[in-house]
Amino acid sequence: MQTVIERAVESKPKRKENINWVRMKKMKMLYFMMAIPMVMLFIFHYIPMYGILIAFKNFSPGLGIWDSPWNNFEHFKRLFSDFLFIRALQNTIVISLLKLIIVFPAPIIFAILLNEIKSEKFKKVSQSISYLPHFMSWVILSAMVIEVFSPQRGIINYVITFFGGEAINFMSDKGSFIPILILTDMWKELGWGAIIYLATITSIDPQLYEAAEIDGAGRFRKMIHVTLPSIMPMVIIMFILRLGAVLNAGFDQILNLYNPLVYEVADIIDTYVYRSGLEQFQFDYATAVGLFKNVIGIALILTANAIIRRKSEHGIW
Amino acid sequence: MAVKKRKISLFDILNVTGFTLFSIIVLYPFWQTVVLSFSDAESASSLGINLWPDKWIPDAYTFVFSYQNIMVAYLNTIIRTVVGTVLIVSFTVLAAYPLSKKDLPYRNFFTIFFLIAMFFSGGMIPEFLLIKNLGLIDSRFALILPSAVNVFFIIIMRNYFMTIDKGLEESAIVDGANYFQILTKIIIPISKPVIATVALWAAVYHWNEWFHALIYIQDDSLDVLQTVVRDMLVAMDLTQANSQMGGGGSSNSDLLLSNVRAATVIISIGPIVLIYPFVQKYFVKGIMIGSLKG
Amino acid sequence: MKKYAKVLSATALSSALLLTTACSNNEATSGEKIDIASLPDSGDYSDKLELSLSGSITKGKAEDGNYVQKRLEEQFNIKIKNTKVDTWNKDQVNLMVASGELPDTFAFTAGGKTPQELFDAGLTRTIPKEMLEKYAPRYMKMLGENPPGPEMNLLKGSDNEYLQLIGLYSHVDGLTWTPTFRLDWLEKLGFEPPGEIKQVGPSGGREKIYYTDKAYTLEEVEEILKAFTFNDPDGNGKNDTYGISPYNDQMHWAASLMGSFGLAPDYNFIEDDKLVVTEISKKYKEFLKLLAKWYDMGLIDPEFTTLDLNKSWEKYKQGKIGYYIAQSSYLAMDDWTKGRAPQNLVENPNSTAKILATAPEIGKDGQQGVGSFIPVGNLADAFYVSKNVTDEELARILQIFDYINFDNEARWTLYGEVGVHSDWEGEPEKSALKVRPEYAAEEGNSGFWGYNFRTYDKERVQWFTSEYTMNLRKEYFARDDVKENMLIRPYKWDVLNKTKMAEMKLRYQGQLKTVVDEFRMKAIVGEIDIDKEWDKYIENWLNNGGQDILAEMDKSDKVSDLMKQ
Repeated sequence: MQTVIERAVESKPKRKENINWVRMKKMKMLYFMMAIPMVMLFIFHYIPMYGILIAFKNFSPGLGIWDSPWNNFEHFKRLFSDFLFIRALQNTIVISLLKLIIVFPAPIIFAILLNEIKSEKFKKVSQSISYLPHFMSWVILSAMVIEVFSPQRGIINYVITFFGGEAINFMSDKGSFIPILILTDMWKELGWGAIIYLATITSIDPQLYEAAEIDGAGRFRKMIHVTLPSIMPMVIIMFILRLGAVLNAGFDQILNLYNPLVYEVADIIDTYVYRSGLEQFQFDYATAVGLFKNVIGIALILTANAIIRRKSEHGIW
Repeated sequence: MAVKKRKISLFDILNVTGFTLFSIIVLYPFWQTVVLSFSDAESASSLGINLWPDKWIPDAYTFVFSYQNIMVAYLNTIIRTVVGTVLIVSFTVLAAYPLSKKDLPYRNFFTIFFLIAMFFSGGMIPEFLLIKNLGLIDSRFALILPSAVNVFFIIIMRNYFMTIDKGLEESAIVDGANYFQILTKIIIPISKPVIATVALWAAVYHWNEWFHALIYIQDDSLDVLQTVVRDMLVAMDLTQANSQMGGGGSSNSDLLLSNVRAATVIISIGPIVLIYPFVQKYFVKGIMIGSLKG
Repeated sequence: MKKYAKVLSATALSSALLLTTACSNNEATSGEKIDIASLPDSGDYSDKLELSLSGSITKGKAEDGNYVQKRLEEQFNIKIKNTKVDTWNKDQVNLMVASGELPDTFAFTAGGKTPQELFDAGLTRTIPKEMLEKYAPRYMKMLGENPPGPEMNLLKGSDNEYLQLIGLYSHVDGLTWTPTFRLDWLEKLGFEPPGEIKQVGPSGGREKIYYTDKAYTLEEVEEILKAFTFNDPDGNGKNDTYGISPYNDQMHWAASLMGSFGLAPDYNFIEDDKLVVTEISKKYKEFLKLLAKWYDMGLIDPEFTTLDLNKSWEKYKQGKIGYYIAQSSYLAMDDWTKGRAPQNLVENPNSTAKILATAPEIGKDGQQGVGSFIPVGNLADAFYVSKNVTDEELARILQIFDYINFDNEARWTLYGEVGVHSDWEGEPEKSALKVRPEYAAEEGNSGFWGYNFRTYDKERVQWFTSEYTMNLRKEYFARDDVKENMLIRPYKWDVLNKTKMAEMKLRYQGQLKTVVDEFRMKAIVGEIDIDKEWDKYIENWLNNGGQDILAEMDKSDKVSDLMKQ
């Protein structure tokens, strides 16, 4: 192999016109590396991809996917003529954007601040604790959340009534439900989300800090001018990928926390589809919903990537 | 790395206090679940905030463990998690490294090839037919192979590789190393934090995944933990939970569904939450600089 | 099924799918005349057949070579292939349907498609009347005795091809729900029971549960709920009790309250000379106003908005709620009801609580009752035969079906031999049967309940019903005069599949349920003014598919005519 590369390197100046081919030969080992994952991906993702056709058909199991009749976008027309779906779409976008703005930066701040803790032991312990709730199921957590916000026994209402206020049924209040969603989502996923940034922070060259110190930078300036820029590429990638999932606003969480009084603000696409029983035997319709979500996701990713590529070199491609 | 002794500033105090408070808030639901899992119907139905059970009662655990298959399911989950994680991590590294090379011809084509698979999937029916045609129904491979390539992980890792100092590789090429040697000797050692992170993600994914197990595995001896757990979490009451679990549970104990659910959750997350300290070991500062000098 | 599996695994993906098409277009099942004389006589099992069977309770846990399987195989000269899929699991069933991998017989209830749609989708075959008469005479006799049985489930445009077989639901005959009150609270607060009260049973907590066949009026109930809420019925000196605690995901909790307005969820009736559905009727509006008034008075636990059924049971167990709805088997404390309110309160031997079940509340003009479990008659459920079943196989299947489900000699398919596999819980033939612990109660090594359809005549109901529940049903819940006077049935119902009602209901159920649930909850908690928002709500309901459903309902037969035939 070594000789191959050497030869390739030698031959490089001779065939400038075929530079790509030469480079490919030189880097052929890299293609070999990629080959296995690509074959796996082809078998398990690309071959079944014809299933997307279901979204445009009246799927009849007896006929199979290919031979089920086309239905002239009937599923999509039905989707957009249903005002409850439109409402769910709006709610999905609002909740998702709020989570993106508020919940997304939290693990980054968390990681940067944790990095400033001097005691290694304290750092390790609080980090290990912080990721625990990620493993708890919403079925369990919802009971606790409802308890904390309960108008009768909840600690928050206890405080309110103690100071002479009127107890508020937070979980059934359109005004407070979304903040509760955001808060509990952050509470559950903060520590887990910070792991990737903590991993990235460890790879920062300590010389950068030393150099900054020589320049007389204080701790905050080091955080802003060294730590943050160093993890920025990772932040950008995470942000773009997160955008792709913008129409997934947290099915499990909402399903376990909401009730009809807050449908108006909290009913998202996934909960609406679930409640309608549309996933039962209605593959065609459910596939159409899924496809719609993915198309929006990929459109957002393309846009974000294009914008970011214009400003920096850290896009996905 | 120059660690200077410095005075403890107000910022440090606030920071430590903040993290302590946060830890308490975050520990609360976990602890509450532990308490609930060791309570019985009487004390649990007081519904209020219980920081300590009236008495520690293991009935909920007895109930869950009386499901005849649970130890087998545990073992299957562990096997699946170990093998699946190794596979995901290997494939992630293998795909991420070439994609991180900016001068790789047709790199964008390959990147897009991976990305498309992240967004479009054929859905349950064709995937099921594929697994069936491959003869993988009731095989552990059905749980491991379809998810062996994770594009999300690949992109994260590729991005990390891209931040690695090019000088390292170039000097290795000059020394006559091939790409595979560079990958194993240089890139992997200095990428331990991100590899550890991806491994953690992969392990947690395999630990928690239930849907594939539900539809591809019909043989009880290959059942995984999460399908059992899920039956419990979606069950409406204990009788239903009991019969879904194969009727092994004793229905005579005085338990609430919440007690049993809590115990189920604790049982099901036990081993996986213990992994983290091992992952953390690889989060060593200055790992890059170390390799440079070494 | 068998051919199918081979085809699928042997061929590459795309060609397999094309083949699927080819075989699913087979003509034999699309309503063509079958030469019944060429089929074997009833009782002639000379050809050995391989059948993949599943029933209503099949969860894929039956072990190969189990007791029931072996006996059936011998008796009918067949080889049974056990279904390894949990037919109670929505995802597994969905997949089974979508991939066409169906057992020869199946009865899963996961909805979403009407029988006609399943047939049109090429999943099921029809069952000719002639074959039923020849091979399943007991089933046909049952149909004949339960009008309009023989006319139900016919293929569109046919009078002798059935899309599915149907079950007799004797186990839900009578009142499904009845209200209960905390008797110890009533006594403490000085309320008299509405009539003579009796204990449900002598022990096990049942001695703390009482019942009466008399009822309170709505006004009396209001007074009681008021006292339950404000007069400290548990004597702890705190104002922490509530009259009633509903739950947010279903409407059972108000079954008898709605009944006192003559209403049952989802049903229809004539109001102002027009057919209306309960949820858009004026009576329903009055019902909502009463609840809103109660909520405003503080009688309803405000936390109910966050409680689903299960949380509401756990809340009731705390002993702070005075009123709760119950089924007869809850009152009799049957095993499977463990943990459910209201009996969960007296499960603990130390509990001093007492519960009184009364007849449904009496409304303004003497109206009382509860919606019937099944809209028309006592027939429900569906047993399908797969498209891939040949006529010869069908003949055998029908004979097995008729034997397992309609010959009570076949009790061994559910409980084995009494004295060997199972025992009577109390008095023989008058109490429930209990399978001995060394045998699986369902499927497993015994195979019990692995192949049967959910159809039970009175005798079968006894096998799985405790003597206390039986007694409650005899004394009150299923008494003839109670059934006569208190079962609320819809005015019109398309039980003969003449219209598109079933399809429309499936299509719009998600939208309509959302509209109705939202309005109901907001109305109760006083977030909206019922009078002001009513017209908008009706419009909303009609525009979300309600109009279509109503039109189809209007085209349907009158229920009273259907039941007369």
